[in-house]
Amino acid sequence: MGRAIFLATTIHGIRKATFRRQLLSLINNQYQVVVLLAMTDFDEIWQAKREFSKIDLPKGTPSVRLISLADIYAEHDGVSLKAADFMDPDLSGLQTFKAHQGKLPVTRYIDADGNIVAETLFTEDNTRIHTLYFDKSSRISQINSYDDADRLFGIEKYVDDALTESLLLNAKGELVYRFTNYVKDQKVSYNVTPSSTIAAPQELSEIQDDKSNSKDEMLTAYEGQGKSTFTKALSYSDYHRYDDINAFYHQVLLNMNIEDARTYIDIDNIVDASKYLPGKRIFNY
Amino acid sequence: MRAILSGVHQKKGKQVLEFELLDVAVSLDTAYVLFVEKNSLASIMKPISKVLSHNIIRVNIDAQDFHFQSEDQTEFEWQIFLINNNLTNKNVIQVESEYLSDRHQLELTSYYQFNSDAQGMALFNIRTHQSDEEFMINSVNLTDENLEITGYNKINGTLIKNQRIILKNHTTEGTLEYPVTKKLFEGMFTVAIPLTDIPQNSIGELFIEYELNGKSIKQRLIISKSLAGQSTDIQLAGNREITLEKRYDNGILVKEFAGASLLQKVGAAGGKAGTIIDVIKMIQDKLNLVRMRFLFKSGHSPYDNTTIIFESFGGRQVSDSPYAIYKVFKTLYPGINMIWSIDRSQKKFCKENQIAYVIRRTNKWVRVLEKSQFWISNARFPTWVKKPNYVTYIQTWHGTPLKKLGLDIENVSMPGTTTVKYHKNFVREANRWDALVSPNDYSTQIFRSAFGFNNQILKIGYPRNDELINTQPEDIDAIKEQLGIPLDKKVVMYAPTYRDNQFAEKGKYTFELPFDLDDFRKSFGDDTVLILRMHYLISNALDISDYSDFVYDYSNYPNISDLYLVSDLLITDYSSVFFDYAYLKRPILFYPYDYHLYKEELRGFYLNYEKDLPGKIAENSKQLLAEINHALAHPDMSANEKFMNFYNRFCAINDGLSSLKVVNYVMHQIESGM
Repeated sequence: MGRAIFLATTIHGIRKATFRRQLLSLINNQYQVVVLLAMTDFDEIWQAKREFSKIDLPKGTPSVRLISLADIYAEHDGVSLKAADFMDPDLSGLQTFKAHQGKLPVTRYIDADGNIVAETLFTEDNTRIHTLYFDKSSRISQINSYDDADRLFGIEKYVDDALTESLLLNAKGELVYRFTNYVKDQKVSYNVTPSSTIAAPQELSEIQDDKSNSKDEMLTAYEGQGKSTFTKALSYSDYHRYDDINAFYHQVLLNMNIEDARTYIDIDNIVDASKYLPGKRIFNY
Repeated sequence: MRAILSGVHQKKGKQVLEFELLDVAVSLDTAYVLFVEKNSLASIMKPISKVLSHNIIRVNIDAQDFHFQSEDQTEFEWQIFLINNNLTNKNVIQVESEYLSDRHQLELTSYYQFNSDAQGMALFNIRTHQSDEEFMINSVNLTDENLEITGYNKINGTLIKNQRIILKNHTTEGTLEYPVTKKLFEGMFTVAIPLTDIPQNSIGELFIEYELNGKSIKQRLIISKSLAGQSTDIQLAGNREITLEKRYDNGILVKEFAGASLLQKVGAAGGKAGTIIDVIKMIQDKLNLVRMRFLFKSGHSPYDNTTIIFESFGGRQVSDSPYAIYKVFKTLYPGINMIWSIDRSQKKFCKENQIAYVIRRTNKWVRVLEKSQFWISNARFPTWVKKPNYVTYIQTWHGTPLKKLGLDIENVSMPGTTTVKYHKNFVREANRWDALVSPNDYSTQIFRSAFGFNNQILKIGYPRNDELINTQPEDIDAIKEQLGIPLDKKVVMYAPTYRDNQFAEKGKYTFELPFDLDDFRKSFGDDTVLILRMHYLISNALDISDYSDFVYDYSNYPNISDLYLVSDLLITDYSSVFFDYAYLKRPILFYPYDYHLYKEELRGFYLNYEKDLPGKIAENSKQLLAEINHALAHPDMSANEKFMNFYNRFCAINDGLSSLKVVNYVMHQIESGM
């Protein structure tokens, strides 16, 4: 029986028709499939799981194992979280309001001034999914993410509603990885045809090239605004630093012993991911 | 920035891909090549293995990595991307190509081919799980005497042995067997089956038998492309006819039957028309329509039959690379309409060699040029020749550049033009070429800079030089006999540059060779002959009647390659002939007798005359004779380091398949409906 690992880094990736197509093809060929929900915005993990459950797999197909970075690093050594690392307000004395977000129950915590301080989302069977913490202007400042056993595995910190840092915790609640987002000047350009398997990202805009004087020029040039977001990773087990999240993913896949397994990566991420995978045949979706 | 797949080389069962990069604006330190398969979306990243000068990069791959078990997939189509990805830059460039490689058999049941898609982007195709009962051939044709088949005779570099083609009669089950008759190119075979052998009223099918790695294999011959352009019908004496047909499964059927009677033919032409009067009326209508179209001159539309125009040196010759390509077309695709654009001076040659032609600058010439789909030329067409958008114009150019060209000439001092105008015209003309043949990276670089050329470079070597590579020693003897050169004598060829200051007054041409023929006779006359290849004006002014025992003037001989082939030594000065002659790995001497006068002009050369040449420079006639003596005693240059450095730089594309590659390029355009 063959093995296959899907590296899922966005919710959108799981929604793709090619994701389902590749998955079905592997299942039909008796592959053992693992989907690694590798997003460092941990709040996307529960959403990704829900998206995955919506994929219409034929009855009787063997179950596909979904794992997250928290599962992989649960038993790794870490360091204790410091008080300065995250916010931990006491919500116990606050007034609560219960409501529903879609079908899921929500509890909101309100302080004496009448401001919303936090909000906890639960599954249908009342398992905690996450707690959002708000600043005075009701902007999200932190999200605590919980696993199915109600264990806190991730803390995501926001500035101006943008995720700036996420902390991955082991089973003991210790910090094992710190992921930091930063924006850098990067000139991005794509020169591809409409039938290219690698499409230019949507945020790029088409540019008119004065040089292309050939009437049957099929390549279209796209350029970005000049800024890109990168994610760094820092291990608190061995203090390995990764300047690029794709280098970290590469290491994760290596640790999972991918040599005999097929690796599936979102084709929208292949330009960044392939850099760390010389010579290896990657199967994309 | 653009990236173009410019070459594929086999190396120890693996492949080396070459890419030409244009307008490189970033460092290539973090660049790599990514292959993405269109159907499965699989990808393989390959680092750049070598960055050559002039923005050529090389990437090593193993084609066997590019196919795998995936559902029922048997066809893998890999797009290619050049990616440069670091913290400050991310560039993704889809690799272009109009380059069509040979089909390379990986195993009995799998093969690869480099190709291009409808948008001109590179595709690396691999097909697996092909039937091991089929053998793909390259072409099949009926000539006046034979049924001729060509195909490749290697499987992943291993030569197949003891090939025979079998013609199996469907009715009687009888078989006829034919061995390989001649080698067309290195790596290809030709088999000719005499038409007289094909039984009357028969339907036959073609098979091949051969040995591979000690195993005996029998397969059915198939052809995947259409039979367009190949000659598939022939009328024989006694009202017999033979046709070739492609079966639903790509097999080839050979049918022999009684031809139609005249009455039947007229009836067939009439179709449903019924009566002969109707038929005549219909033909008249058609003729009239043709005349009307001509009279209306409502713009030109392309011929229904694919038509290729060939031209060499503005019609002054039927020669050079266009002629080499033409000859391969004639062999492989005689059904394609091919017409030479010539001056009246070439009429006799064309007639003698059954070459269809049109005389330049006539009404007919304009019409033929404007209605054909391909132009293949080795020099520029006048700017007033309009190129319709359905024409694919292949420029072969006529030599590895030695003297500066086009935009590389900084100051143009020609009457009636300015430097700016001259440059602009050059670029405009060059970019009408859809593809430009290049013999080496050195030329590619010059063509890009000198012509401002932005389209496809076919780095496949010069078609005209295939002959130098493919000719066998016994063929050389035959050429010598044809030229009247004694077989037992060594041959020295003298091919100097034409100097336009050599004539004092019109009508008064006198010229003497820059070395003494008496001295030459004294030193080498017993066992060596001297052949001369000069400009025709010089040749007319030469009097060599006293030396006819050892001096032969072939200045007017049409095929210079024949002269190279029979020569043991080339002597030249500033002519670019040595780029071609070097393919033979024979000695070359440089005798720039008027170096002091020419020195100024040499600044306009791309090469350093004193350092980069593949042979010694003789400064005076005494030195020349000494060097001739030395060179004739050392006929093989393959161990000479300086020579081989030159060879590797300029003559490395030496597979002898250049003409075939241009033919394949054109056929690919025809097949893909461009």
